Amino acid sequence: MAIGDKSISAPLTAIKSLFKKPVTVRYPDEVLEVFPEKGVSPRFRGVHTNDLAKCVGCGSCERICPVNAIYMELPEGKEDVKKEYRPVIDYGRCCFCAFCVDVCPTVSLKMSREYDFTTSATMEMRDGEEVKFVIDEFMFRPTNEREDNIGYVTGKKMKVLG
Amino acid sequence: MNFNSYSLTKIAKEDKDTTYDLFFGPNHPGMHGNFGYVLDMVGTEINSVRPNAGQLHRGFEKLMEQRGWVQNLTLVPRICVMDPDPNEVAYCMSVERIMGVEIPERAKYLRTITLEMSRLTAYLLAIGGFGGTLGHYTPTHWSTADRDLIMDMFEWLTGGRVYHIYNIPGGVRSDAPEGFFDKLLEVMDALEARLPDYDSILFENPIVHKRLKGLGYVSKEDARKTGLSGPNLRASGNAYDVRKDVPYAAYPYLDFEIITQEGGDALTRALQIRLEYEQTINLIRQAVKKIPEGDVRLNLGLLGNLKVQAGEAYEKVESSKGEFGYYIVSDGGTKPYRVSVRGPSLPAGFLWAQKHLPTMKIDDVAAWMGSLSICPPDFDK
Ligand code: SF4
Ligand code: SF4
Repeated sequence: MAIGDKSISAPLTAIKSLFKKPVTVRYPDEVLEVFPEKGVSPRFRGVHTNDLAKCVGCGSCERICPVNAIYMELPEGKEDVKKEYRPVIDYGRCCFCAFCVDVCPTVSLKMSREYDFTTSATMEMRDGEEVKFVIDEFMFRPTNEREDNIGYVTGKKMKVLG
Repeated sequence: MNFNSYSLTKIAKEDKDTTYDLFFGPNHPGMHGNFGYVLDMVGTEINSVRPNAGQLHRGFEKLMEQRGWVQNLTLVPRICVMDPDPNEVAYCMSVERIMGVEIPERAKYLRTITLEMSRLTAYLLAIGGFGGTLGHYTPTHWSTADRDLIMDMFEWLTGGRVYHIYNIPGGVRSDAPEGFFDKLLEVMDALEARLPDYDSILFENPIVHKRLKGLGYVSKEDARKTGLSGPNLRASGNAYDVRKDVPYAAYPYLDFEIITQEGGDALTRALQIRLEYEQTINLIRQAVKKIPEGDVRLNLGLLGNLKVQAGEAYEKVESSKGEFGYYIVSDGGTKPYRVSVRGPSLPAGFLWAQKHLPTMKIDDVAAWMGSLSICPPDFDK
């Protein structure tokens, strides 16, 4: 196939895109026709959710995490035995690979379709005081509060363990 | 030279003192990563050039020795941001070769489809790059929007948009969701329908032809000798394509010809991308049509504690920039003993830069880099 050069006015055909609908949409009202549901894909790897009642504290997720973003910590008021520990995830490190979801033997750990990480950092500065940023909001224990918006799940059929 | 006592205007006026060092990069928008050239300039012409690498050194190869076989898969796609899947596939193929396993047919097809989708995203970025570096931003905006269509498909298939982490040793992580292939074919139709638009504003644009013609000429012999690969090699008239010559994944079952062109300059390389873009769309259609039913992954036991028997392997994959190869040595443990990555950009980024740039005007440097698809992370690993 030969692609030769045309007349100098050929690039002017680009003008027709002035009459098309804009490609960009205003965040966060993105309506994508690609996916059956509005917004992000049904398999999106977003913020985790964890069914704390189902989780057995095995720590598989902690061991597989390539960036050591998961810490097994004891929830308040629980007896100090291994099966009571629940994962806490540091989203400053997490790369959203979903390996932790793949290895979870109880399928309690899943990922939601939420990706919005903007928080209003409380920055206080009064006379003579140091600037304080609240950084803890990036590190929390996933619970099932996002259970109604599940994204990436590794079903029983695709289980990686056993 | 002391700039306090010398204003730039004064330097320009005193003609004898017009050489200066120009730092092209490390944060130039025409550069796909932190890498720069220090250009020794005379007026607007380049006298000599020093590649200034090292600012993107993230130590990929060393890091891989400290993480498990599967964990490394979060690291390898980062070696080529625009075209991440060839890295995943080459890494997995090497591991599978050491383990002596053969992945299921359906997984091979899924790998092929993701590889080609990834190639499309990279070519669209390259088209945008050609536009942007020539100061013609319309194709850049268009290709960014078109690329988003494929990103959405990736998001649907893998859950991630840029880094898909879809391949693992033994196959792929999940099967395609229902309705995925139909939608993918629709996207392919949409992308193909856009090609005439790109032709008229970029590939057939007389101004683009004038700018790129004769820029960065690489002869057929030299391309082979210096180890160029991929579209750069084929645009110099060499018929070599890993997909055809050392077939992997599902490429042996697909019907395609190696596209070559004589010419070897930046314009030919731009047209090469245009031609291969069309071929890629065609390959995706074929793969979608032929994909068999079945498993998508072998059961290799516990992912986290995957042990790979002692051995070594080298596997290569054709990426949008050229040949990506992974040489992996295992000592039988849960981590690789050594991983060495062969990236396609080194010959162009170092050798050809020192040869080509000194004949060039400063305005052409970015266009030259775009035309050779230089991707710094893969030689600065
Ligand atoms: S998604 Fe990946 S990086 Fe994030 S916590 Fe899970 S295993 Fe770690
Ligand atoms: S792998 Fe699953 S069950 Fe085990 S600790 Fe993590 S979330 Fe709980």
